[in-house]
Amino acid sequence: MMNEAKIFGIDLGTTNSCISVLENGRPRVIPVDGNGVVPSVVSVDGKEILVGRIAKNRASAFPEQSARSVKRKMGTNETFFLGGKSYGPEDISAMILRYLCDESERLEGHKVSNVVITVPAYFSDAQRRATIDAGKKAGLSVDRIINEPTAAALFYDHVNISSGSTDGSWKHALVYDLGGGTFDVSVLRMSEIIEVLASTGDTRLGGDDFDRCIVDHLLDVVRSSGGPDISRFAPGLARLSAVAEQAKIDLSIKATVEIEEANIPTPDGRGCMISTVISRNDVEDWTSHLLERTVDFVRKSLDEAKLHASDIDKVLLVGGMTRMPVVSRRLVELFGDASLPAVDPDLSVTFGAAIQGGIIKGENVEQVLLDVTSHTLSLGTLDPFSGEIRCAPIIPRNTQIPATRARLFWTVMENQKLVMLEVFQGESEKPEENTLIGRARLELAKAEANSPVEVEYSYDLNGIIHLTAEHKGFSKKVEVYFDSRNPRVELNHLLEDDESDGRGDSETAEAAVNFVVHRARILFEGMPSGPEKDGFAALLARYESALAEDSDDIDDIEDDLLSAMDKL
Amino acid sequence: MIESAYEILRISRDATPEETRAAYVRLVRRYPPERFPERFAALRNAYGKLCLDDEYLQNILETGVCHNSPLEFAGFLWGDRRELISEESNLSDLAALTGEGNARKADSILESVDTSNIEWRGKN
Repeated sequence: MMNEAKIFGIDLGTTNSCISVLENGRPRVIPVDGNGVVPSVVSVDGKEILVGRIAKNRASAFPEQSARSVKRKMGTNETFFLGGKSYGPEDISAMILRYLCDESERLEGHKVSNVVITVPAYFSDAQRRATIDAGKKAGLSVDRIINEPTAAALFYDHVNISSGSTDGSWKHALVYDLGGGTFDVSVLRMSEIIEVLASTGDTRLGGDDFDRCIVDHLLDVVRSSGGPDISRFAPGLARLSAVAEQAKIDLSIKATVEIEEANIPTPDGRGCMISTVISRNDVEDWTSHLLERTVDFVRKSLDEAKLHASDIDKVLLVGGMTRMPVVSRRLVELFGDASLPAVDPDLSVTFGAAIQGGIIKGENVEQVLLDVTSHTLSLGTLDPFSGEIRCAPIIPRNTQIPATRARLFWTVMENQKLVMLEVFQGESEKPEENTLIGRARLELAKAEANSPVEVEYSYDLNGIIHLTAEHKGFSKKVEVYFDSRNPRVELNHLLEDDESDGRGDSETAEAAVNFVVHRARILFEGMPSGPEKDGFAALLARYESALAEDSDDIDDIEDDLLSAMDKL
Repeated sequence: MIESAYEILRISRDATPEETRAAYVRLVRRYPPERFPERFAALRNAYGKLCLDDEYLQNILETGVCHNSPLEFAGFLWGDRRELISEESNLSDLAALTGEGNARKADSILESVDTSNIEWRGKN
C-alpha cells in the first residue's frame, strides 16, 4: 500500500464509468473515450471484446451480443451469454475496469495497479464483495471500496478547502445521487471532520427505470398506429431504449422532442417505424411515481439523521439523472432555502474516489472521513419465549465504520454440539424479512446449558463484514468465514487450536501521519537552515514520537508545535 | 468505566456536550481512522458513552431490561463487556453507567419498567 504507485479512483456506474487520479492535490479525469465518461457496456464481436463507446454503438444493433447495466446484477448468480460464452456480472465489470485501466495506461504512460472503486451506499455485503472480485479479476489491487454519495461529498469538501473557502455557516449537507441504475441519499455533517449521519437508498431505482416508462409509451404508439407488438422482442426493445434514453437527455434542455425512427427491428423481420412528439411534461407525468419514491427516501434519511429539511444547508446533486429539471425543482420545493451548488453530476464521484486514494496514500491528510453502515447486521437467535427465530441486532445501521461490536449469546442445551451462526442484513426482527448473508456451523466443546458464546461482528472500511466467535471458557476466538454470494452454503468451523486472532496491529510509527505532522513537514522543508530550523525539527521529532508512543504530554507538545507553526 | 471515557477524550467530568464533541473531533483529526483504526474505535466508544441521545438510550435500556439480560445489553451498548462482567450488576449501576446528563433519564426509564420478574444473570 505504501509503494510509489498512484491510486486511481474509479466510478463503476450502471450506465457510465469514469477513472481519475489525484495530481498535485487535485483530482483530474483521464479522458478515456474522449471526455472520460465511458459507457458501461460490453459487446463481444466474435473473439473480440469491445468496451465503452464502441460497445454501446454496437449494442443497439446486436443487443444479444452485448451486456449493459450489469451493476444491477452484481452480487447475484445471474449470467450473461455473449458470443457463445457465459459471464457473471463481475466478469463483465472486470472487462470494464480493465478497459478503463488499459486506456489510462495508454494515455498517461503510467501503470495502473491500485484503485479505489465506488459503490452505492446501499450496496449489500454480497454486492461489495462482487465489486472487489471484479477488481481482482481485472488484475487490480482494490485498496478501498467507498460509497458514492460520500465520495461526492468528499470532493465537494475538497473543492471548498482548496479554494480557501472557510465558510463556517453551513453544517449539514444532503447528497442526492440518482444514477443510471441506483439511488442513494446520504446526510452528512461537515465540520473539521466529515461525518455521514444517515445513508439510505434503493439499488434498483435509477435512470433505466425512467427510460422504461418512456419505452412503454413508445410501444403504445407503435401498437396504436397498427404496428406489431415488439414488447417481447429484444432487438426492437433495445432500439426503443436507446431512443428513449436520448429523448430523456434532450428533454433536459428542450421542452419537446420529435421522434422519427425507421427500421425498428420487428419479429417478422419487416421492421416498422415510429413518428411522434413527446414533451418534457409528458415524461415528468409518466415518471412522477419514481421521483416520489426518491423523495420518500430523502425524508427517511432526514428522520434517521434526526434533522429537518430546514437544517440542511446544501443539497448536492449527483448522477446524470439529476439533470432532469424536475429533480432540482422538486428538491427546491423540499429544501427551500438550501442551496444547490453547482457540482458536476458525472465526475464528482470519481473525483471523490481519487481523493480517497490520496487519503490512503497519505498525500491528503486534511480531510478525515467517517462513513456509516447502511444496513443493520444481526444474528439469528432462538427466542426462548416463542420458540421462533428472531434477529438480534449486533451492529445497528448508521453506525460509524470501522466498527466492531460483540454480543453474548447462550447455548440452549447441555453438551450442545454446535450452533448455527446465521448472519442477517436488514432492519426487521423477523428473519424472513431480512437478507441472509451467510451461514456457518460452529462446533462446540462439551459444556453445560446456558454457556456463553460471544459473537463479534466487524464492518471494515470497505463496508465488508467479518465475523469472529468464541465459546467463553472453552475455546479461543476464531474467525468465522461465510460466503455471502451463496448464503445457504454452510461452512464448518471447529472451535479449537486456533492460536492467532487473525488480525494484526496496523498502527506503526511509519504510518503515523496526521494533518499536524503533514503541515509541519511542509513548513520544515521550506525553512532556511539555521538554529530556528533545528529547534523546529526537534519539536517535530518530539511530537512524532509522542504520537507513536502515545505519551501523556502529547496535548502540550501538540500545542507547542501548533503555536510554533502559527509563528512561522 | 465512565471515568475511562473521560480520560480517553482528555476532558473533565463536567465537560458540556459541546466540549465533549470538540474534544472528539480534535482527537479524531489527530488520530485519523485511516492510520489509527484501534484508537478510533476507542475514541468512538468513549464519545458514544458520553453522548447518548435520549431515544437511543431509551430503546437500549428497554431492550436490555425487557429481555432480562443486562450483561448482554451492556456489552452491546459499550462495546467492551469485559470491564463490566467482573462487576456486580444491578439497576443503579446500570443507571450510573449512562453518565451525568443521562443518569436521571435512565432512572426514570428504569422506574417505569416492571422489574418484578427480573433475575439478573450477573448474580447467578
